[in-house]
Amino acid sequence: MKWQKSTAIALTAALTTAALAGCAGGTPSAGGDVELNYWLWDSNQQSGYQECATAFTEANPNIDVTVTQYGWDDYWNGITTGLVSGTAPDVFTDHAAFFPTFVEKSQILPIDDAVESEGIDLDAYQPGLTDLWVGADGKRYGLPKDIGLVALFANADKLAEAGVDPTSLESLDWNPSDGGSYEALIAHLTVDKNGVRGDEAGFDKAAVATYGLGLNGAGDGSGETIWAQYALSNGWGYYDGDAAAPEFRYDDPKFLDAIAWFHSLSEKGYMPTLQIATSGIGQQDNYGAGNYAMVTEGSWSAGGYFGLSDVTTVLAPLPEGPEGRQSTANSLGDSIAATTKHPEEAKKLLAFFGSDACQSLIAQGGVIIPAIADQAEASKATFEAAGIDIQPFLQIAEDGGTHTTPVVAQWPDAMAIFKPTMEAYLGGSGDIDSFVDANEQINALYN
Amino acid sequence: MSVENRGAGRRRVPLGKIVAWAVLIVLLAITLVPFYWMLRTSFSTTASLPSNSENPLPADFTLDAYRRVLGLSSADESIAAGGSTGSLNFWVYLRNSLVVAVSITAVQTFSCALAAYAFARLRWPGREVVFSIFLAALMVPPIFTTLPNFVLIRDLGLLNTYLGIVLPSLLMSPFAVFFLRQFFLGIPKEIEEAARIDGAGYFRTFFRIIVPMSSAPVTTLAILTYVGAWNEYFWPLLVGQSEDVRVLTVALGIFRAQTPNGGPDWAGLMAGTVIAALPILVLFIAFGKRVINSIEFSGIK
Amino acid sequence: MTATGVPGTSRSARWKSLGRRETRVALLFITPASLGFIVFYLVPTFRGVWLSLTDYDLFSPGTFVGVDNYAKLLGDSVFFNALGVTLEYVLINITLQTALALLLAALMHRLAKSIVIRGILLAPYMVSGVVVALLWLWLLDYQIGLVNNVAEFFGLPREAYFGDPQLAIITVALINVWKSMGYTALLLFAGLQAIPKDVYEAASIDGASEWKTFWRISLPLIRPVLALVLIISIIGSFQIFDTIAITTKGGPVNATRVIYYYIYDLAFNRYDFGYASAMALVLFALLMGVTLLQLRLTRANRSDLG
Repeated sequence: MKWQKSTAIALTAALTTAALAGCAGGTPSAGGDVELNYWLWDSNQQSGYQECATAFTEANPNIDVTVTQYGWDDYWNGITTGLVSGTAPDVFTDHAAFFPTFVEKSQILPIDDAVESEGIDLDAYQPGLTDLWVGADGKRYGLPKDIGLVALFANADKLAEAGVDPTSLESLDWNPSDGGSYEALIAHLTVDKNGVRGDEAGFDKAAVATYGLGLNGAGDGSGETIWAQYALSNGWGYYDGDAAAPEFRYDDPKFLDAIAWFHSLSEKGYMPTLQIATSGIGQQDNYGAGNYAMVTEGSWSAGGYFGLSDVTTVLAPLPEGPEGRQSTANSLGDSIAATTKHPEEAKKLLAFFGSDACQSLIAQGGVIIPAIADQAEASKATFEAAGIDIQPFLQIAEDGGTHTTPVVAQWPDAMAIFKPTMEAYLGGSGDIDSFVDANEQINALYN
Repeated sequence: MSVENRGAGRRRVPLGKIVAWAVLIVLLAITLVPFYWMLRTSFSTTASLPSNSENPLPADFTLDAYRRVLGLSSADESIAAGGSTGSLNFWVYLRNSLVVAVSITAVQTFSCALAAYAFARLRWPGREVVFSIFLAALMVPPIFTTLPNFVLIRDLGLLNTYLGIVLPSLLMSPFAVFFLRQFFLGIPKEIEEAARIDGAGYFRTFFRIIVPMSSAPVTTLAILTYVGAWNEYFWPLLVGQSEDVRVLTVALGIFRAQTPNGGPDWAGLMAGTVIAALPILVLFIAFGKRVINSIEFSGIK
Repeated sequence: MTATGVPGTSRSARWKSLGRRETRVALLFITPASLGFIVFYLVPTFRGVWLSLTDYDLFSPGTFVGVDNYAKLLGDSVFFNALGVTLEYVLINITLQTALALLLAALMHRLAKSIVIRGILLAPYMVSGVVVALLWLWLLDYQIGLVNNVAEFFGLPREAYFGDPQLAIITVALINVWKSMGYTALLLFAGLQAIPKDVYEAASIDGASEWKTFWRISLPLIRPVLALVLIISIIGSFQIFDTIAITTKGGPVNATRVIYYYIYDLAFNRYDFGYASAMALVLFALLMGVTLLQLRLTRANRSDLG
């Protein structure tokens, strides 16, 4: 009978609601043991941290650690929602771009006491890195886990075809007016669809087959791996003042000259336009397909690039600018969520993940260069085993030419102003002077 | 593309008719080709895609993409093939989508049918005023209630739970009330009066007579509600991130973000979309005729 | 109509008691829906207004800031850009979608009423916006997407559909036309089917051409369906989110930062919940205005069939 159908519907509804109320969809925890959740976004490092987690549990049998990986875009959504709802992971990999905001909103815990009690030697790290993780309030919130350096990656076959000796890459120079031997090399490596090189007559910049230098987007305010090295080696610095009240210098002529030169590469056809670079497959895929002869990339990507089956890569240090070789140095660090239910255990975990024991395990994965200075040599050997010579990366650090990327308050708001300006300029629709205006707006945030 | 190309007259086989058919076929092709391409890519090997971009057949036919996406291949295999270690824990997400969609459909349809009947057929003070208020809710853009609802769900401790995902739509949808009320208004009064004479109370009248009579519009509404709940992205994205309550749409968005160093794993992504679209498409093929008729019916009414 | 409980004559007493019982039953019937309405529509509306007057940031209780958020809105160039982008999107999406839907509906009505054709046309609507977005992200890829390869084959230039600020929002609009034109066509088709055959017979006896028949007869007769379809489409169009969240995330250079996405970005990425609420309220007012305008315009044109 038809009424049975409606009764059935009503019953289903009632039962479903009851079931839903009971079903919180969470995982029950074993009684007694402490369960810690750890999140990261780099899938390449997941197995390394899994090993660290296992080692940690061996040393601390009553603490269980679960390592979960989320892709970059959704990682931060998840962290925020978690912090807001009290279900955030206890410890998570943090990034300089988000770190200051978490400190500002009191969403992560300081670890000064753990540094003391666990006996962490802050001098063991590469210079400058530990300061990255000190908040604007002077408290320490994290330990550097790796050092991210930048170098020049070149396609060995393309070099050979162009008759370029790979060792010549180590003595490249650059300046914002004519690009020096660096631009000359880029031009020479650029080939159009008719086989004409960028520095030859008849080069058609509208029909380029291989770009001399790749482009990986417009970057954020740090310009890491994209344009930072040029601005920095031109004698520029990100900001004056301290992290709590920075005075940004995006209106500085040294910055503007460097960016203008960088953009000119696209105009001349040696580098893809921003539209092309961001409209399809990424920089690594383009490089792997032979569309880019060279790229400037970070040490954390080395594994991926050298793993490309169709390309043999040669590494070289970044070109020397007017102020020598300068580039960014960054590091990732772990943070403890303020919503954690086990702060003491979480601090232990953080200290362990940042320690020698764990970092040497991670270093063996050959994905990142450890932040602990002593281990740089050991990781060199690991990379060598995979055919990667990381000396070009380490060179700049050894010569003291590294700058840490900005770690300041209100970074997301500042970037909401900066990014469209940079995108518009690199995309060809903005004026170089737009940076002056943007800089003013950004600095207004801090006054 | 204008209608005027159809020419004059209906008796001959005019140029107009041929053009009309051509236009229809073009539009159908535009609708179908993307789906075919989705399938074709899902059976390809990601690394071979750049070199085979015009080939209508899969590039290096393989089922690996599906294996990756369903979590059936190991992490190393995934990374080697150009994917990431992210996988679509398909059965979990399917279950989640089912729970969410079924519960919303069942409870909402029931609750709104009751209310619609009260607005249409029962007489009570303030009926019209309350209905207008309900209707006003139709005009409120979801984003406006979403933000405070998020805070409410958070305060209730229901973030990352099924209840948190379904609650806001569980009991009420202004469209559903409006839609069913329209239909109930059209039911002849004699039927209820006959029931009343036979001694049936309000509840019995409703459940045993009105509801069976309204199986068509109720089914229409249920189908529309189900599809809407199944395809919902924004709200579940906000409140249903964690693995055990994540629905298919959110899972797909997360999978897309799992771009390994470099570019997206296209074959894996397309395999993921095929898998995500499959349940609805299967439903559609099974109940297609009914769905189509329902939608057209809703348009007229 | 409320009974007051005073016992009167037997007839009015019966009426009054009927009224009371009916009222009680009615209240019972509307309880679940009303609960949902009050808790998740009414209260949030008021709370949203309240939040818009604070500087709430999700982590700590907000402090009252009066109309600061609204003042900020007036000076926010990204907001006005978002309005412009949204309007551009709505315009392109709705005009193209409606035109194509009308065309499809007319073609189906006159050529082929097959259920298979209708089913095919409905397919893009049935799958989620996320699936559609991913599909077109792949098809429109600059390097290896099908569309660009076919274009190059015909000698047309390759386009950065998502990367070019000039093209991005148009691309998003077209994607959603693809998604919804079949559904809209079906609604209009149903409207066309409802037109009695004798109207057409009269027209053909008078020797009217297809074009004239459609324009002068079919279209006016489906006006109420068309009006309803337009209202629903426009409201939905203003709230585009899924496609943008998957493909461009508001870029490039804010070219696809529609209002909805901007509000979401502000609330959940920049933790500016109070400001986002103010913006949502403005969007609400805007939509209300648009809907009322539409209703007024279409009320004047009732269907000539009745």
